[in-house]
Amino acid sequence: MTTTPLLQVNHLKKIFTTGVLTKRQIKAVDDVSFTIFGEKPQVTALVGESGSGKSTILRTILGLIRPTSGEILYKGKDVFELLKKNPKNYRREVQVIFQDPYSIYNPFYKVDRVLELVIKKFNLASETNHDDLIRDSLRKVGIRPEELLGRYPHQISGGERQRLMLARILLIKPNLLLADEPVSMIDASLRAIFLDILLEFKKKYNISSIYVTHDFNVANYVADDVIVLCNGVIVEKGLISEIISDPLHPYTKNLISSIPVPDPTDRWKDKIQLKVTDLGRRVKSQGCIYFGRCPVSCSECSERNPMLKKVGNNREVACLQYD
Amino acid sequence: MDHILEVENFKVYYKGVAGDYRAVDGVSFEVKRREIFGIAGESGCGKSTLVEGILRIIKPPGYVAGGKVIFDGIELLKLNEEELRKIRWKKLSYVPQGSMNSLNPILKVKDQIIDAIVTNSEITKKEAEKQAPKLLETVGLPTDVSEMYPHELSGGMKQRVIIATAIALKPDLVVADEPVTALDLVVQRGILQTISELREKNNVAILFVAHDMAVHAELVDRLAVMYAGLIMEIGPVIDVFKDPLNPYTKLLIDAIPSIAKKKIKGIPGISPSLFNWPAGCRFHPRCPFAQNVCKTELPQMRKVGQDRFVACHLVGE
Repeated sequence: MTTTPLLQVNHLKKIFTTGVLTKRQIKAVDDVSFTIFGEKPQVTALVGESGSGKSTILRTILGLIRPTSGEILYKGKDVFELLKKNPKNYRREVQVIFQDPYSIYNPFYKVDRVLELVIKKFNLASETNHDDLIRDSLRKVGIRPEELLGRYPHQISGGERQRLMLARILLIKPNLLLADEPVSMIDASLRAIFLDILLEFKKKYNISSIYVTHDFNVANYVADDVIVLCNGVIVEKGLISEIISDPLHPYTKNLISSIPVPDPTDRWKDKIQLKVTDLGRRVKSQGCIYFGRCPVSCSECSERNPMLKKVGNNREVACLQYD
Repeated sequence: MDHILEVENFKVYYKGVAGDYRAVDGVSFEVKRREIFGIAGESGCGKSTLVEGILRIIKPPGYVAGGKVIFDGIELLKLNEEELRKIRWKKLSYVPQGSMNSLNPILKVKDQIIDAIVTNSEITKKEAEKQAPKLLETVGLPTDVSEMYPHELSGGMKQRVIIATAIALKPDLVVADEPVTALDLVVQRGILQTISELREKNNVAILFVAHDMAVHAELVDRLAVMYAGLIMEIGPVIDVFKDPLNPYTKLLIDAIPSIAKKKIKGIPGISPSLFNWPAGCRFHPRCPFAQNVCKTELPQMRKVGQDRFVACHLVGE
C-alpha cells in the first residue's frame, strides 16, 4: 500500500502582474511539480539563481501567496483549504526559517519571547516545565541558555539569532521545515554549525526539509535530492551527488562549472563568453526557457517546450537532447 | 619601487561615548604592482573600514587613528583634499560595495562613463565619448550597452559598467570592495574573469576585498586574512590554502562548504565584537590550540619563510 505523500506540488503556476496602465506579466513559476514523500525524512534543495522562482514556490507552500493555477497538497489535502479550516494545525506541522536573521525579531522584546510565544500558541508545555523546555531546546542547538535568555535582539549575533530560530523549530517539531537561504547572512565559520543542526533534525527528529538556496556548495552539504530551477521552470532533478558529479542539462552544467572551488591550485581554465541575452529575460513565450543562453541549442529548441523526462533511475531532465 | 601600496601599522577607529572602538587596529601589508591582493575575513572584521581608511573616505565618527599609507611613493595621509583629488580616479580608483545599484537611472551608460572621465581629468567630452565603447569592451560588454539605461542591464552588466568607469583613467590601483557579492554564480564567474583580464590588459593592481574564501582561491595572487580588526596571516594564496599557518585561517578553510568535499567543520564560539576585543590574541577564546601566552599577549606580525607573514604565538621561526 502506498501512503499519501507529505507534500505534493502539482502544476504550480504563479504569474505576477505589474504596472498600472501597461499590465506586464511576469511568470515567476511555470508548471512546477514535485513530491516530498516523507516516508523517510529527506532534505530537498531547491537551487536556482535570483529570479528563478524558488522563493515564490516556498511562499506558496506556506500559503503566503496564492498560485495562479495548480495545487499544493499537504498529506493529500489542499493547503489553502487546510489554512481556512484549521490554520493552527498546518502552521504547527509546516514551519519556516527565513533568510534574514535581523528583521525577524521585534527589537522591543527580549529574545525569549519568540520561544515563549510558540509554547503558548501551540500549548506545548504546562507552566511548570515551560522553562526547562526552552533551556533544553537551546542547549540542543548549541547555545548556553544563561548566555542568551534575557537579552535583546541587538545584543546577539546573526548566527545566534538563526540558531534561536532552530531552537524554536525544535520546540514545535514540525513534519516539514521550509528554509529560505538560512545561512546566506551568517558568517562562514558558523555556517557549518547551523547546517549540522539541520542535518540532526532529519536524523533525530524525522523532520523533512525543503532547503532553498543559490549555493550548490551548501546544497551538497545538506541535501539528499535537488531540484534545479531556471526562470520558474524545473530543468533538472535528482540525487544531489549524481547531479553534481554528472549534470545533464546545459544550465545545470553551466552552474556547476561556475562554482568557485576553494582550492587555488584548481582554478577555472576555460573562459566563459557573455551574451547580451544573459539579461535573463525569456525571449519568446514558446520554446525552451534556456534558449538564448544555451551553448548547444538548436532551432527546435526555440519552438518546442521540453518536458521533464526520466533519464536513468533517479534523474529527470527537461532538455530536447534527452527527449 | 615594486610596491604600489604600502600600509604600515594602520589604525582606523570609531569615536564612541565611552572611548574609541578600534575597528582596524594596526595592520601592515604591501600590494605589489600588477598584483591582485585579496583581503578576506568574516563580517565585522574591519575589511571595509580598512579600505575606506586607506582611501581617506571614512566618515565620522570613524577616523584614521595612526599609521602610514604610501601609495606610489606618496604618503596619502599627509595630502590635503585638493592634492588627494588629483590622485583619485586617475591613479587610485574605488569600486564600493553594492555600487552597481548606484548608477543614475535617468542617464545612459555612456553619459555616466563620460561624466566620470570629464570630472576627473582634462579630457574633453568629445574625447571621452570615443573612449566609452572601448572601455565597455575591455570589461567584456558589447558596445551597444553604452546607449542603454541602467534598468535595461542585469546585475552583472551593471557591475561591469562600474568597473569600466573605475578603470577609465588607467589607474595604477583599483580597490574593489565585495564586487561579486550578491551576483549569481555564472555572472560572478564572468566578473572574476574580467578582473583577472584587466590586470593583464591594463597593468593595474587590484586590492580585492571579499568574504568568500572560494572566490579568493579563484582570483588573487596573495591573500591577507583578517580577524577582529587585525591581519592574522599574509601569503601567496596557494601556500595559504595548502599550509595555513594561523589556526584561524586553517579552521576558516575547513569551514567552507564545497562540492569537492563532504565534511566541513564550523568554528565554535562567536566572532568578537569591536566594542570589546578579547585581551591577548583576539582569536584565543575560539582557538583550540590556545596557550597561556595567547590570553595575555597580542601576537605581532612576523615574517616566516618566503613571502609569508603570520601573527600567532604558536608558529615557530
